[in-house]
Amino acid sequence: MLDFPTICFFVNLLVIQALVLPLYYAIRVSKWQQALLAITGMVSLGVITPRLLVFYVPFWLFVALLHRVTCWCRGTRIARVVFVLSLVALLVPLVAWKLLPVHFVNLFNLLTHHFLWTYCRPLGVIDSIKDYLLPLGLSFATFRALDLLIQTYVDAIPRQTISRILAYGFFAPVQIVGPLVEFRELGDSGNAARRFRLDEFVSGAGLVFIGLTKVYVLAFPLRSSREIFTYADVNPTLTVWLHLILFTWYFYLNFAGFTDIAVGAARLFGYRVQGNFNRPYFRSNIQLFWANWHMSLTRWAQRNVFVPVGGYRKRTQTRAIFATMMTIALWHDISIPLALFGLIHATALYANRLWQDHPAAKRKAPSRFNTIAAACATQLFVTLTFPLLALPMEAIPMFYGRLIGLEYAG
Amino acid sequence: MEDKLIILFAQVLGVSPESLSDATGPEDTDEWDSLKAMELVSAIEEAFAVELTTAEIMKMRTIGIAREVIRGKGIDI
Repeated sequence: MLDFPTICFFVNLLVIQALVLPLYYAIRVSKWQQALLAITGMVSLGVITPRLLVFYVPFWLFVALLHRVTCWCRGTRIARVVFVLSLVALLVPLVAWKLLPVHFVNLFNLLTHHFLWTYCRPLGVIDSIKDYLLPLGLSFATFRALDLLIQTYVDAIPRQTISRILAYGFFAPVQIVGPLVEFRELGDSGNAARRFRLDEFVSGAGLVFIGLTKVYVLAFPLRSSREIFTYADVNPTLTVWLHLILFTWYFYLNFAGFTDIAVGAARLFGYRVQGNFNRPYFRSNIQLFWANWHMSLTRWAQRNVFVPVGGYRKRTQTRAIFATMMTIALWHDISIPLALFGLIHATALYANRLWQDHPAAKRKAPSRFNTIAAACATQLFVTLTFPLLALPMEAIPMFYGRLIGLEYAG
Repeated sequence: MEDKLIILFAQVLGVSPESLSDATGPEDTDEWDSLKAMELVSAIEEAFAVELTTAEIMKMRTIGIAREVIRGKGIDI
């Protein structure tokens, strides 16, 4: 997460915002503000490398088209078929990237650069000096597009103009590291233009500052803890434990810091988007942890997986819990360690649900000591599952072996 | 006149009716988690003798939208 493109993106974004904001607030017409938002997002991506634009402009135009088609088909016989085909079409690039990362990234870089070189030589020349790049923000873009389409299908979002969808798709603050904002978080303003408000501006700038502090002051010194996943076999057990604990804090502070910057930058544009973290490491059970960790992804999965799979009915809730957690896990990467991560957390959530239904859990409020002990146990559980996010399958037995003091002979 | 839907939400969520309005949704109510959402669906179906479809439940993101959905089923609330 604390890598060069992400840092560059936010530095560029803040500079671009400083230039764009006077014009943004001088425009008193909503649709022109939205057009400026979309252009700002495109420039922010294009500055990293123009290649990203060759992918994302057609992607969001395609989303706008699917949104229109879904609206037209609403209430007809073919609505469901069109909807399912649309979802599949949107998922193709993301799934291809997760399943065939090398092939997809090669193809992504070659085709997009070739397009620029052939049809837009000046941008092609600029693109030539840029590094080989992953399709930054694709997981976030795909899930935001899916959310828009699903909400359109269930008639929670009426027909939108292309400029509004592009403003949502290219909303710069959330493009690279989220949060996974809903369309209505950016689209519910109706036709009213955003007016400059000093209190919102100060609050946004404050959040950006807090985010920068988390990333550069708190998380940065902990970054070397990541190396424990490479060198666990040559370190004493105590060191492995210590680095694992430090990694959980690095992971949280880094991600939460970038989210704060994104939420603050959104607020500078006059949009209040919801945050991603609310003291997740101090929660007393796994359900509360997930309700406060990467909250925008959890909310996304609740809306679009948990409810449709039947999470609101007792008889189908178990399968809904498992489907939801597997979606959250596999969103990060389609791999066996991530599938294991999803399965373990789903089982823990199911066990927690059973306990909450148990009469003993309802009898009386837990004591302060029990609450603290439960928070520690939850934190330990989460810490022990985090290596699954970072390790390849073949290294997992070795790493967990080291945690219990086993010597690694390989 | 007391609002039957607001009282129902207040009872299930364990909050005071005064703290709820048609604009209230899970994002601004800590008590409205997935477990409570399940209880809310059951409570609405039982109280108003209706059956909610998956699409309707997905749409019910605020108390106001829930009211619209129930009204759409011919219930006057």
